[in-house]
Amino acid sequence: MRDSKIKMFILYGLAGAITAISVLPILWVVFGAFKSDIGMMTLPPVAPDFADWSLIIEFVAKYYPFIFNSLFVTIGSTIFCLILAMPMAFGLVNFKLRGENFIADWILSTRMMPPIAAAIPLFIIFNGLGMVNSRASLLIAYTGFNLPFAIWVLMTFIRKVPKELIEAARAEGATWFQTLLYIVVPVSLSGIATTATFVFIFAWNEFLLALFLTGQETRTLPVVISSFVGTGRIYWSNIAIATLIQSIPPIIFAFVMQRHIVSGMTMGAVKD
Amino acid sequence: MAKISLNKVEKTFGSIDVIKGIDLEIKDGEFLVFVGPSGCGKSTLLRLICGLEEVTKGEIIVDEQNVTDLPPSERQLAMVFQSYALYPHMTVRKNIGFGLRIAGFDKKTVEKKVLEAAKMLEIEDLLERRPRDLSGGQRQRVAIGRAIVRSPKAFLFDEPLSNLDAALRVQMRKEIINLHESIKTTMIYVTHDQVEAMTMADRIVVLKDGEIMQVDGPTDLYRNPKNVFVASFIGSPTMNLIPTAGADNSLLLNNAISLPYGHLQQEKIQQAATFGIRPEHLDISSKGGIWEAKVLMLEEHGSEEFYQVEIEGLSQPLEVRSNSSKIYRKGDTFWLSPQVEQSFIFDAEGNTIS
Repeated sequence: MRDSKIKMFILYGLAGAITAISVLPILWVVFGAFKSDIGMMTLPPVAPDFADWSLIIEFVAKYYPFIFNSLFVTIGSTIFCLILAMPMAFGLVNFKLRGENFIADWILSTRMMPPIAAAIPLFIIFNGLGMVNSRASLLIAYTGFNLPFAIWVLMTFIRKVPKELIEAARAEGATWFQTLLYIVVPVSLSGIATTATFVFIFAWNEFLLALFLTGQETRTLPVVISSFVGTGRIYWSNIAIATLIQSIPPIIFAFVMQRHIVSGMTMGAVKD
Repeated sequence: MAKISLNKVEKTFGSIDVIKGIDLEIKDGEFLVFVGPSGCGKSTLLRLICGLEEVTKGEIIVDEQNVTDLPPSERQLAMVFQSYALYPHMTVRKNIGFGLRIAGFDKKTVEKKVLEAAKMLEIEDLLERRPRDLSGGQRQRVAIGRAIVRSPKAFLFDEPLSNLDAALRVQMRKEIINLHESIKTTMIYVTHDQVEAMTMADRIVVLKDGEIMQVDGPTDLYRNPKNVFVASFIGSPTMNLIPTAGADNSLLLNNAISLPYGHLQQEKIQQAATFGIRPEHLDISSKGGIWEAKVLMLEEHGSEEFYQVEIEGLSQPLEVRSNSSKIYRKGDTFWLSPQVEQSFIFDAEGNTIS
């Protein structure tokens, strides 16, 4: 009896410690967004004033162009990525191509390269094109980086679309493109939503390429956050606010997408 | 409406020859059934006609037009799948109208044609429903509706009824026959169910291992099979087949029993390798006959009985069909007399001699 109580105590203690390690920094950041720089560092900590939005409003007023940059690049690359990946995945699944397995593996292999290996060549390429310090360069780079992943994930979802549906559409006079657009896309919406969520989060949080390819005006939010660590001073309050803002869109996006991830979309299509 | 011709059509998957050179003329307005055991290539042949598979060799002509290299979208044929293949994200109305919308018909025309098709199949009340809210029979009707609405040159059915329960299958069978009579469009129908084949077809194509065994009307196929495969495939219960040798005006069945066979020329009898007789051509009598038979198994069907009987000297049991008032039980004996004029003999290659 005593033994099991001690066991439980240790177990709960450990669980509590692990939870604290993961939750406390988040809480510190969220609370920090409602405190001043000095307030964040005082011991014992002072309570945040959740009614006081002045620092947050001030931050948004000053840094909204960078929030917009982040949104533009992320949403843009997510859309481009899906538009490009969908036909590619459909083709790889449905057409018998010479060396299709090689193509599929090769596409994935580009994902294995560390991004830093691509960062400098990309900088040189975009510099040559006069596109450094533009949102477009980042949009293109993110689309390219996410494409292999998106193709692979979409391929697994497209494989689940019953073959007869595609054949029925073809027999009814639909071209391959119409079959993709009117049948495969609606039927694999859940897969598209899943893929979009991952692509969105990757692009939204990406830091390295953004650091290389953006300039003063075209910076994205992660780059801006890093700039708050100065040589003389660290702007803790700004970091906290920016981090809070940074974490909101993926949460909203995931929530919205979750509603579209309807399981059993193909129910009733074919006899199971 | 269309005439369809297959000229030396071949299909190989890798190194496997699935279709081995098929020549076939399908008449305009005909109801043609492909039948055969699984793996005989009947579905593949249908998919080749539809364009879902590419022909390896040979050509397919629809209405004087060579469609061999055309995609399915340009062949103007309609296919009904075994699995229905309804679009799950569309209502019944949208499902039926999909082909028309793709073809660029205006909204009013699509709406009108969809309604016509729905009325024909009595599914007007289901138009706003999704496939998942329909029963199997209703789904099959929608699938047929989707085919009708486009007024195709020909309908291709790939085992459309095999997912339905028995009663519904009989009903849908009749409806498809009626549909064919009212629209008179060429229909090609694939099935492994010989009852479906016999009851629906104008002509039946019996396939085996990618080759045509025989093309004939249902009754001709039953009465005059060209070879031992067709003879055994068509008919239920199947024809009794006994290895035999020819002798003087008689057959020596199983090298053991002699059966007088005087109605044929001697040279034909000499070639006999297999003796075939249908279960209904074995007469039962309690008084006397040629063979004494002992009942091994009885299957009662109400209107008739099927017996499996053992005859001394024969290595295999025989199937006998009877509709006499007397029912024999397991272990009972009776006399059997084969109607030799109705029987068949096949040569060593399996071709019918008589």
